[in-house]
Amino acid sequence: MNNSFFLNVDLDSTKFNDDINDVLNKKRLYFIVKWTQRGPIKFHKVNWKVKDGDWNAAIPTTINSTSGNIELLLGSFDAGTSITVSFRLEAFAQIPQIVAMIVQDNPGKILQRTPFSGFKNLANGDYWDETADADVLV
Amino acid sequence: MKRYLLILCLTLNLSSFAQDPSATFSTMSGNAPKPELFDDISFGGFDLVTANFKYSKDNTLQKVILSPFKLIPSANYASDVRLNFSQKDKISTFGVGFGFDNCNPFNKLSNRVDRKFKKMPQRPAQRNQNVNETNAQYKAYLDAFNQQANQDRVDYFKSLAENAFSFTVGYNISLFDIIGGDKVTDASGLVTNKYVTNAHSFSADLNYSVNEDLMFSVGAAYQRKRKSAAEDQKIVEYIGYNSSFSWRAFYLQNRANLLNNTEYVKNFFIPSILVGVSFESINANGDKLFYEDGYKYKNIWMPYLDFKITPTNQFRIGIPIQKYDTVNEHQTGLGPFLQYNLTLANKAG
Repeated sequence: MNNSFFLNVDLDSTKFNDDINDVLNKKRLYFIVKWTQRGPIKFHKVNWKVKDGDWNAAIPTTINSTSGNIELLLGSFDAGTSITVSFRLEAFAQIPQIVAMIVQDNPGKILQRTPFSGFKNLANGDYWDETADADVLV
Repeated sequence: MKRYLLILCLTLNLSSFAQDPSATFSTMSGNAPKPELFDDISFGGFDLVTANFKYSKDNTLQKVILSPFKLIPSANYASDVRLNFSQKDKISTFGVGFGFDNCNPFNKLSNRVDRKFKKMPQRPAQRNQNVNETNAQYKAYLDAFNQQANQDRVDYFKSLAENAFSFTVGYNISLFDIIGGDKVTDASGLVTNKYVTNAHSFSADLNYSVNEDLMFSVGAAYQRKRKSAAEDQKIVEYIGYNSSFSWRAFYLQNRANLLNNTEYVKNFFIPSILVGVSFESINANGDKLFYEDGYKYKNIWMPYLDFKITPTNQFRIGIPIQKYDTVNEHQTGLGPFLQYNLTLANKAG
């Protein structure tokens, strides 16, 4: 996964400053999941796409985590872009509280939150399969 | 007076919700070790709430075991602390058990679950359906992906079941049915309701699973007890031991097909028959006149079969074989009894 916004800015380019500003003006989006710490959660997929585009993988392999927090950089996008995130995770114990969000960090906004309010409860062996949409804000 | 008795015992376990594997291993062996002598002070498995109703010819037991700290939606050091509320005949018992279960991810005393979980193999993440991919092709891809995920999940449970152990150190206080009010005297002038406390009981238990098929448990109890509330009663000390062994002897479903069983994959529930035996022993020390029911000692061996058909259809058939010695003519009649265990809920690990 490319986690640098500036990787594609070419030092040899005559438009270096413009390229830098272009990157800075884009909106950075993250997919964030928070859950009860020490609860074993397996992420089977976090895929995203721009409307009418192809799917991209935010994680190349499955992730096993008990940290209670995972933050995945989806990329940087122009304001107004429609993003769809498709995720699937699996509970390996009772998970009392879990929430997934699509977040924009400039300016800081929660674009999508699921569930919309409160937290979801997962029983052992439950899969959470969901598709969330968000529009990038100015 | 030495006596040998043979009785038939039938136990039914009814679980209304799927069990959490974190409690399954300890519960499998944890239910077995105190079926008779210490059933009122035992803390059982590690479920959130367990209700137990036991009826027999000579005594009736009702009890509830609660793990209140499992209701807290965060990891804590007291996650496996349990409270015991029981009533046997006219004796009410209240207890607290400080436990530890190394399969509970939310017990901060151990990182074992975390270590085992992170050792699970990483697979290529699941992809979404490609534009040029038919539904049938994508379904075949998903089926293969899910089959691998199920196998990984079961392998994780197997690793969790290996060398799983739990222990509990507990204290119970037992009270007579009358705890206040006017003192009553009998014909000889003795106060019949002088004492409120029937017993102070201390217990320690250890459960160990070699793997998902082989489990052991050992425990000990120390009680200071009087047999009635009457003024002339003296405290008698009782020292008890218990142990059990369980072996999953018969799988009721072909092992090759278990991955198609949803409960096996989700909760590691194995349709099977367990063969086991438990042993309980109690010895009295003190003034023989005040031994409860006149017993100097009592030993109970109980071979049993645990039938685990589905998570909601489980029962135990056991044959307790008792050997005891009395100091007088007091005897306790025995007969078949029926026991129901009802797991009401199982949340938060």
